Amino acid sequence: MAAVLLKTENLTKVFNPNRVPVHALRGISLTIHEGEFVAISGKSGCGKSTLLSILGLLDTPTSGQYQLCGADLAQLSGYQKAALRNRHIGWVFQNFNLINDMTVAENVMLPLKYNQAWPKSTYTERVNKVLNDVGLDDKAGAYPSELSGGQQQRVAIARALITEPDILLADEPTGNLDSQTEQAIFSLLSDLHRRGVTILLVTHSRNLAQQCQRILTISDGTLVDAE
Amino acid sequence: MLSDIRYGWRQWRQYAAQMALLVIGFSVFTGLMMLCVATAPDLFKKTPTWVTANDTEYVTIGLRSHEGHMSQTTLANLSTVNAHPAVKDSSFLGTVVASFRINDQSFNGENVVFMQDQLPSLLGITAIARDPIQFQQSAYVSEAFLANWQGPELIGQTVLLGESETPVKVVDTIPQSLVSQPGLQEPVLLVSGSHFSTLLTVDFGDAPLPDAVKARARHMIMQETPNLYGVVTLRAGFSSADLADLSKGRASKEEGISVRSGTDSMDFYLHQGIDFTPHATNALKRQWWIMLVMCVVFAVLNVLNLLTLSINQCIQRRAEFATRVAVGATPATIQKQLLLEQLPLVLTCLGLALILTLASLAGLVAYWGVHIDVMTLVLGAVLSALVLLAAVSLSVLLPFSLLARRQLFQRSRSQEAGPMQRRLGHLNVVAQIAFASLALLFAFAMLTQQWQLRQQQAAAPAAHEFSWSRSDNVNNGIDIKAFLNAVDGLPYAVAVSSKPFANPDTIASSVNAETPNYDDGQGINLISVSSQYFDFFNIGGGSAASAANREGVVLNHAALSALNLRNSAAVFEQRLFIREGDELGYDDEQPIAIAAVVENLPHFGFLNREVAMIYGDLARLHSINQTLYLYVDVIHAAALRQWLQDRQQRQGQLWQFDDNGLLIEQMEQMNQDLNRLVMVSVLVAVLICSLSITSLFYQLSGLLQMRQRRMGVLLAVGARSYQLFGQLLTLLLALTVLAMAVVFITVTMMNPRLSLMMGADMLAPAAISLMLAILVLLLLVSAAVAFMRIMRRPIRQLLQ
Repeated sequence: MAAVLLKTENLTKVFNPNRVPVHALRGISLTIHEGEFVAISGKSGCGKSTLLSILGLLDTPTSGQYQLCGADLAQLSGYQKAALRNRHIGWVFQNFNLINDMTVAENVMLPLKYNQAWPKSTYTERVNKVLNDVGLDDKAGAYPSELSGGQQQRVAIARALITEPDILLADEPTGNLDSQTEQAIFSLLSDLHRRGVTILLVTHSRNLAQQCQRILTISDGTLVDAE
Repeated sequence: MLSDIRYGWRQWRQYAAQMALLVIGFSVFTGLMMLCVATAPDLFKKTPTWVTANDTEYVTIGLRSHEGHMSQTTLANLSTVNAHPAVKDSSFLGTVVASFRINDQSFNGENVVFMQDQLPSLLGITAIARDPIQFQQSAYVSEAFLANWQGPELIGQTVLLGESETPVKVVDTIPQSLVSQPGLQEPVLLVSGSHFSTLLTVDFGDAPLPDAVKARARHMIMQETPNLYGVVTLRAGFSSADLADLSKGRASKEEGISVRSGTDSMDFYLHQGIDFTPHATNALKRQWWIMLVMCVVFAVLNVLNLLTLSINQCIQRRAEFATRVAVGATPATIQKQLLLEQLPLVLTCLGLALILTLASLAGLVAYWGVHIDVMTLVLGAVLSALVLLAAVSLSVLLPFSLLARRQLFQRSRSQEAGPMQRRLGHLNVVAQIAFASLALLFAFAMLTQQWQLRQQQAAAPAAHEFSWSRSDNVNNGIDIKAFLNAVDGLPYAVAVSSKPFANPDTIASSVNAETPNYDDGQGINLISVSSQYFDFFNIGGGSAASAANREGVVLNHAALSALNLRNSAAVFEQRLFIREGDELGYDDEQPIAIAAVVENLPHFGFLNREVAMIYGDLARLHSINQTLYLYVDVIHAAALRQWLQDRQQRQGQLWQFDDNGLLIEQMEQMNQDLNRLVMVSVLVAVLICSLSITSLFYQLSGLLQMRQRRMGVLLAVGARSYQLFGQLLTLLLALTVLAMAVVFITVTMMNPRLSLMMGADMLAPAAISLMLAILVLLLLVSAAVAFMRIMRRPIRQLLQ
């Protein structure tokens, strides 16, 4: 059995606790092992993206425990979380979140600037490699606005992979794309998984979820089904 | 429409602090503009309001004083002007201190204005008789004189003028606009200029002169007494420049009688239009321009603020606009809605501006002496309202037209600022930093100046002033040597001077260091002081100057600079020529040695360190006709008072002494105007500064708002918050450097004028250091607070 990469216990998230509380997550407990390709599925507003944000350290839970790569998140400072995010997590967003006035290469290189593990001399080589991995090696000098939606998402995936993270978190990565491009992006993710990358994918597409190794279904903030 | 306004109100409530800031800023701008528009017509008119004639080719004739100002001229000089081929008509107006009698009541030493008979018709002064014969028989009294008059109905009474008791009849009051005319001392009586000779008081003493000689002397004195201003109209085809070749007639000299006055060496002063105090009017015009510049500063500042807010709102409301368009709204209807949303802002600003204008108008009218009619005020209000509307419309519609309309349906750019928005934001920050720096620099320059002036106060904190004079001001006056000998015998230090310390009221005399060519001389103040004066007031370098029997005069450093002797190694070998050298006990054109050099005055306020002074030895004067001023430490004030009292009793009641109190109190009193000016300047600076700093804070928040998605992305890929703050500070540093370049170019250009007008040096190291320190602190705090506000949000929210 592969090692545990992340583990949560009784994770809750309440928005507006002092006014009209909205319970986004109600006691989520789950475990993800290294090398897994897991889909989190559910209807709109069920709490999938909130869960992924907490798992990806973009938000904090109201209560519960969360361990990533053996570290208890409750014990970590903001800077330590930033370091974890940089070294162990790769993020892919539905709306790509590329910086429009940076070139593709600069966007992809961005995480390296906050990661001292990689010497500067290796930046260009790394960028070329990951761009090659996602099939965009000829677009390094282009700006995001000059790319199609599918290409922009590939750039986002390349940026997520540049620091060789332990886990790739993808929040509806194909939500803004047509079905043909959706399949191409999913193929790319599957290819990455085959190369050993752990992937946690949030999707409302049943079709995509079924192509993953494991599906976690959330309803009304609760984990209802784990296939 | 009402629903749009209500919706706008709700939108504004989300930005209550910025709204309040905009209301204050736009109100001040609108109020200043109303004042500028309302005061401009009268201030920039070439003739005063009481001149109704339509001829604009007037030239006022006076003499150029040593300070370069217009001063009154003489009849003899005006005769030369009349003979000039360019002059079509000429007339004069002047003032004289005279005596008159009404019924059995005598009035002595009153200000009387006289006008040549044809002046009322020349200028179209409607309230005064235009018929010369009628005018010669008439007198006009001031409203104040009429109000204080106790006796039978004054209008219709006979006034007996001067010693000859020439009768004239009171027919009306002097027009108020003429009473408050700058340059003319407020008169109690206005009569025809044909009575000028009658009004002159000439004291021939006990000299046994024949009446014919006295009459000739009186006539000559009338011709040579500088009491009046000339007003001429020019012939067609001539301009005031054609009068530049005017030369004055020689002083009258007739059968052993010669009349000389202090104006003999003065040149003509020609002013196109009618103005008896062009230098004062120019000073007012400069203040008007400053007010206009402030108005523009407030306008730019507030347009930038509203523009920033509108850009941020446009970004945030893009989805709302898109929805409106999707359900059938056109860009025009959205623009109309945006304008309606600004109505609460515009109406509030207009209301506040009106209150502000009306509250300050009375003070401004009194201070500037301008006349404002209701129509001009209404015009000012309407113009200001239109400019306000234009400024607000521009600020609101521009962002929508440029940014929102084109990108309404682009999802990928939902909340992100584009390059153009960011550039606008950067430009705005540069402008805000520049305005804040200028305001801070101005405020600190004023404060530094005031602080430095206050520091000078310590020179004589305990000095008490007495004055000793002969009440009839005639005959032999005070025997200086005897008086100084008596003072030196006192068991405590007493300093004596010919003029009061706090307000020496000296007329700068032309001084030249090489030749008695006074045309190229420098205007320097003269004062005679006793040998103890410098030590008493602790004036640096005074011990050399205090040495008894010194030969020559004492200069302060400012006088040395004025005479270009500051770097001269052989200062004490120089000889000075002082035009009014007799004031210091020297003969005319006598070369005078420099005995010592002392530090500048320790005074503060109007008479500050920069005033060039030449000190003469009081002992050189044999007698003085006016007053001597005595200074003693406050602990000996009672003793000196008793000594003066005893002296007065011994010498008779013609001698009198006054206890003028503590010097420091006199100086405080004299500095009240300056203090008020400083207070107003500092208040304005603080207001501009507060507006700039507050809007800078909001601008920084806006800037961060525009960058929040970028910050979210950076945080998501592992950036630390301090790294992002570092990026923000780097950006701020670049923008601050740019703003500072603008500020220093501006200050370098405006500093010389400002130094002259306000005495404040904006390039003083203390002011610059304070400004930079406060600016850096404010920028750091603003940036940190704005940054923390953004960083409090979860990264997930930043990415939305």
